[in-house]
Amino acid sequence: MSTLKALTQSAMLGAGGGFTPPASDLAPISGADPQALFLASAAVIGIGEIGGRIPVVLEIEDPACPAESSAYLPEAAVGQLKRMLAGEFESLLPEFLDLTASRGFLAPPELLPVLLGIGKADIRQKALQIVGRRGEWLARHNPAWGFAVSRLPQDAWEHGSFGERLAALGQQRADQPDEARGWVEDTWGQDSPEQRAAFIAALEPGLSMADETLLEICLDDRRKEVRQIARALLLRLEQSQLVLRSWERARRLVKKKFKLLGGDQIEVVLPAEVNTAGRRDGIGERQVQKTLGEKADLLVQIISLVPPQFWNREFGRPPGKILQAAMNSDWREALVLGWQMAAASARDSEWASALVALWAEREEIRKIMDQDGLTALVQLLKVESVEALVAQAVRPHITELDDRHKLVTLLTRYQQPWSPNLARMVIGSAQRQSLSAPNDLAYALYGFGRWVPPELAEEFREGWGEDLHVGWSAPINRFLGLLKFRQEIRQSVSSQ
Amino acid sequence: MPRLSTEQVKALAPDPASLNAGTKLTDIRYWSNLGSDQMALWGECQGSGREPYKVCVDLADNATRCTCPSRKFPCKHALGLMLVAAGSPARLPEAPPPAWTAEWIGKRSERRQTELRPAEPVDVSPIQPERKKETERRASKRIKLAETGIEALEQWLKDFARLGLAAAQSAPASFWADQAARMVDAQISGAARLITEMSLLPGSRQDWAEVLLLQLGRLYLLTQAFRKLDAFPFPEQQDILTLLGWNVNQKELLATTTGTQDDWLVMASRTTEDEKSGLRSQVNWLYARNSQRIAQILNFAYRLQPLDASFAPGLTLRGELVYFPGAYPLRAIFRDKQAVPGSFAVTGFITLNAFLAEYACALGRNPWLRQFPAVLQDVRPLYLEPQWLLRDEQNQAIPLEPRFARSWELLAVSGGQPVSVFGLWDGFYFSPWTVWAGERCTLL
Repeated sequence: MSTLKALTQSAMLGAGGGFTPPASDLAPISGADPQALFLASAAVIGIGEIGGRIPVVLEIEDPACPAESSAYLPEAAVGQLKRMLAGEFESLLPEFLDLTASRGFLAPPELLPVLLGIGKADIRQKALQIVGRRGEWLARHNPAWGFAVSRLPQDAWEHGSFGERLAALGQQRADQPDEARGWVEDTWGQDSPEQRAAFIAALEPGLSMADETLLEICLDDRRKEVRQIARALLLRLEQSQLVLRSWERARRLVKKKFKLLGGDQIEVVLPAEVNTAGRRDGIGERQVQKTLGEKADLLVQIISLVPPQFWNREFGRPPGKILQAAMNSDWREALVLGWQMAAASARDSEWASALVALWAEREEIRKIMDQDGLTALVQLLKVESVEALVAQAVRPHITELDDRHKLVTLLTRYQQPWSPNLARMVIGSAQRQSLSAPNDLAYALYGFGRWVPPELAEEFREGWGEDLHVGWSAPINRFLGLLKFRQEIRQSVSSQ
Repeated sequence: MPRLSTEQVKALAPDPASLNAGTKLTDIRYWSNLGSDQMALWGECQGSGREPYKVCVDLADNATRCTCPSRKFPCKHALGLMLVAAGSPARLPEAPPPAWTAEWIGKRSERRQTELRPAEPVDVSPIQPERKKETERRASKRIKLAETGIEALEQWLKDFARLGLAAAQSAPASFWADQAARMVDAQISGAARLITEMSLLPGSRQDWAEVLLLQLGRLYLLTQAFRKLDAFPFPEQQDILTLLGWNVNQKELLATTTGTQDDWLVMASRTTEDEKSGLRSQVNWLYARNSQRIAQILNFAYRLQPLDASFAPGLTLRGELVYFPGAYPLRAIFRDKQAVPGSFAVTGFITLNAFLAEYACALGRNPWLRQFPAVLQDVRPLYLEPQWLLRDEQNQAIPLEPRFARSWELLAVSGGQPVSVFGLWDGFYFSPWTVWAGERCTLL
């Protein structure tokens, strides 16, 4: 019996004159030329073969997935999730995933492969909250989705990929912080510098003096990233040796001088050479600001290693007053830069607030602080501080938010939920300006839509002038569209 | 008001820009005098002009009308109105239609009545004999032209066989394109299409040479069948002619054939667009509640013309369906149809053996059958790297199309439990289109 495969092989290099198909296949065809016979055989054998297929027998066990105990997302929310996964309002995906996870909803089965396939690890981690048991069952079938298969943190730490180890470490740190540190110590010698840096950073939650010994060892690490992260963490431990060493160094260089008239002043002594201990703490390791002199640059680094509230205590003044005094110093740039770095590392929101206010107020400070530095500070602000800044700057119809005060720039960096009060002030200013040519505020509106409380969506649809300037209408519609979508997300997950 | 879905509306949009513009118009601030009834939706949309645009939608076929000057069809206002209806139907309260809506809807439904009525006895008007003669003359001229084309095709196939299949891999594009062009010249565009499909085979899959040989054999079989056309019964004749590129006259078909009255579930619907020609093709697969037959409905539209939007998967259409003649009829058209509420469960082959046996029967009736549609009941997807399979409850399995991109979705939906799958079998692989897990239907 001939097969399509055999016939194909015989025909790869041409069915020549010698071709004779088996008689049994082609009883009805006779007298034709060899090519015709060949083509007819192909039809008869080929169609016979595909028509004669039988299934293969497979005895493979594949247990079905366990039943879910939570409910699937409501249809409306599924539609919204699909839109975001397709790229529309993509920036809202983390918010959506956290919100639906907090309500205990699960994604419908057909979306699981897309969710497991999300490229960005932080978003994917959020998505894992809603894939349910079925998601884990599915992940067992695809080696690329190993991260979704739950196993004991210890097992993941010892045998998992880098991402799995990091996740396991985070989990362990939350449950048993000391054991987690022990894990990092145990594999310290085998881990690559990048891994060491990431593992040290993962110790941030639950940081305590118990971590000091390990962090102190990190200061001698060959890798700069490891040293930097360790220093930032030690800065948050007020009792740490690093903080004490730094404070000893700094207090001798920066002093308050009392004057009867003309207010406080800060007196600065520039540091001499850096000793070995100083170098170990990272001072002089790099140049922070090229425009500063060498010694002023060292001063910046010395100040950057002191938790800023030490100065409040030392001078008996709040950060705002200290900064005002510093403005009279010839070394104000170095002081401000040092405090900015220290406030960011120590997550000091009071100092951050004072520094940001200074940034908004003074052109020369804006030249010193780079955008990353500003962003780090703005993220630390309490919403009341931001409200205060805006309230101070805006006088309805007289001075509006148009970024002469640089507040729009600041607000775009304030990427966390806004209070209704802050939102009303900012949007109110936009509404009063929307009849004239668009400015920075118009272009920033869409970004604000992610952080404005969505329950104000209805309120913000009103209050725009009858004769909107044409340049404002697109940003306003985009802003309102984003806000409405966020409101719809909330409605669709709370309707049940 | 019959329910519109957002997906349905999206499918109607002539281009993404219109859809985008329409989406913006879902803001309720733009609208006044919104309303609906069983037949239509309407509303007035404030555009850039002084007067608001009057927009209405005929729900029978989702045709739209708007007083705006846009040449896009449907325009953004109509899309906006339908999106409002899909998203927040409560915004369109039931009301008697305004005069401008009622008038237009009235005219359209009148027209529809006349169109749908079986062809009136126009065919026997006085000029008929002459026209008939002319038609016959043209038909025989086309047959003659096709005969010369078939002869050339047969020679090309034999040359191909002599040259060997390996030559297909290195053949220049013109080897296929020139022959396809000759077929178009001979007005057998179906043969041209088969040649173009063949040209894509070399290297496309591991067993490409076998598939190519099978297709060559089938094409040769077609040339032989055409030569003996008169010897075949009418349905087989139609299969041969349709495959070569003859179109079925749908009006005549409706006038001469009685169809099947049933409830038809839209199991799947896909639209593809040919970028070069702008031709959009909509393929719909239907399943009959009573007869349990499957039917294929094809719709075509150029560029901005709307496609029939009533084929929303999951929807049940009640009406008389007329199959195109053929030995194993699949393609069909509706004489009349209306959407009725509710869906129903499809049933299909319980064993893959039964499914393949039926495929063999179908192939026996139409050896050129390229895609055999079927519902497979109680099957489970299985991944044996690198091959995906569907297996039945007796642990018998058939392979899934390797290019099928949504196998993981299929597995996720099944969760390891038996599901029903609708799809197409080409003799080698099964391509899933729709899966039902219990009540839940997912398009793939």
